[in-house]
Amino acid sequence: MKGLVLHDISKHFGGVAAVQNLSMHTEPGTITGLIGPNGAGKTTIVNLITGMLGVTGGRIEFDGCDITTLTARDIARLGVARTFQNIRLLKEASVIDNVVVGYHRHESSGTLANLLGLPSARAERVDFYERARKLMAMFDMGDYEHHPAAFLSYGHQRRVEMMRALATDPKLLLLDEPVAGMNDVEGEYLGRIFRRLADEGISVLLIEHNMRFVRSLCDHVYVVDSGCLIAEGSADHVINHPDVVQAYLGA
Amino acid sequence: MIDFFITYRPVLDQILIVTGLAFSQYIALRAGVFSLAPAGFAALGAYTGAVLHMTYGWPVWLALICSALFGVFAGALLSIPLARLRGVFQAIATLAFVQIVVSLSLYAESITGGAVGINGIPAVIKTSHLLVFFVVVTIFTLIMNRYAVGRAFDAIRQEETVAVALGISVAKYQALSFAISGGVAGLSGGLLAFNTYSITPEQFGFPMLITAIAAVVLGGRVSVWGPIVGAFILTALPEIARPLAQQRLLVNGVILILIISYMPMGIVDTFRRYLAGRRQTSTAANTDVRRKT
Repeated sequence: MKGLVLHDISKHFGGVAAVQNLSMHTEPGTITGLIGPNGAGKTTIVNLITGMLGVTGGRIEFDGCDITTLTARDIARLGVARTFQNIRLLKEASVIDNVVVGYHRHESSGTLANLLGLPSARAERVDFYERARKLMAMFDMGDYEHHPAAFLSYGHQRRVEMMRALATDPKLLLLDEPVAGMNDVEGEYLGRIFRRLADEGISVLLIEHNMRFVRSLCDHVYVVDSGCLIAEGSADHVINHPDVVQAYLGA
Repeated sequence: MIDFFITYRPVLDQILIVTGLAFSQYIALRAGVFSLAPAGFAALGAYTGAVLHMTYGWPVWLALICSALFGVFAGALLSIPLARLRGVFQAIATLAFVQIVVSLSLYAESITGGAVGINGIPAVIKTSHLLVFFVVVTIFTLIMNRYAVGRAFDAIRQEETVAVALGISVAKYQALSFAISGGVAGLSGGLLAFNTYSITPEQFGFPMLITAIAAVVLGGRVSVWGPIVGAFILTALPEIARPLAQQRLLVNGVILILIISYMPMGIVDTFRRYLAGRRQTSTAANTDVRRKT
């Protein structure tokens, strides 16, 4: 089966069940939403998918192969990219260097060639910087090429994270609250980019709080609360689901 | 002028060798490895070179190549047990490595000459050779920083989680940094042996370890000029301030405390950031103007 499939996964931290028997899947070419109140276990799910945490039970498949026990690095090399809820940039590096580091998966010149600066390494460097500039133009960040990443505004730092994730040329893109702290105009701009990425055949998994944003963008939505799946379906369907209303409003 | 050069030639030699050690330290720190091992690698390199030449009669150039290779080998080997350690734990483990090397060179008397060390080594390495070494190491480091290896080092140092999420093998690149760090320090040690007639275990103990790390912290950890400036100041200043030379360590200590307090990024990096900040302010202003008009 194409895309990402979670079969009944669980994660326990000591006695606390952060995720319980959760099943879901994402398909290439679609945007899947994952929503839930604070502490519902959304980021834990992202960490389980990317291999940063090991599952307690269940199975994770990606494009038909079992990735449950693979290391985070190997999962990344299969084409799974993510952004972080608490932004993680290379703070000492410039914006473009932050993006170029994302091309690591596509390096084909050898380690020795890179240590000695042989022509293959040079050509690759030129190519990566060129591609990074195109990516930056797409995110309207061309003016900030040599800006130190640490000094950017919050919204711009988020864009750098997304560009870095896209530089890996992923098949699955996990976005952990990508528009948090942005206004609607900025959010819509990014939303259009996400839609375009999905149209190009990437599976996008969007973890989000902003209901309006989810509603406008997601083809299919999963709702979690206290680590359990409480609803799934189209955005309009789940938003009116009584369990979802109760989880969000405590009514 | 000539007199000045002759008088200070030993100091210049020492600066160049300390720069080698500082580069070894810099390369480890660049990859996020808090290694204190350069002094240990230098000891291995110095004894390898001296023993191969003095005991086995190998030519100096071949002995020096072996100094570097043995450093690379020791670094790669050391990286295996240390792969799971981070930060201060790496520091303690590599400190233990230095202690082990120094004790071995003390106790393996039949090979190393024990506390007396190895004497009468021909001083065939002159300032000119050391200058070549200095230039080669500097260029090598510049190239390393520029391409894929430097990018991976930067990612691992600044955000290890991100490096992993991008598919970078932390174990591979940290092993690589240990190996290069070991090679550079091993060669520095070999050059030291053939520059100064004699080597003893105590040369490679705590003071050398502190000198290597202090040079990088003082000079700067990011720019290639950092270790060069740091090594120069640490070695030259006590010599130039002759009346203070007796209190050399005291002077070093005071300078270190002052610089760490007021320039936590080191002299070169602080200066570069200051320049970058000025440039940034002016381009930002220009961008704003363009946007408004």
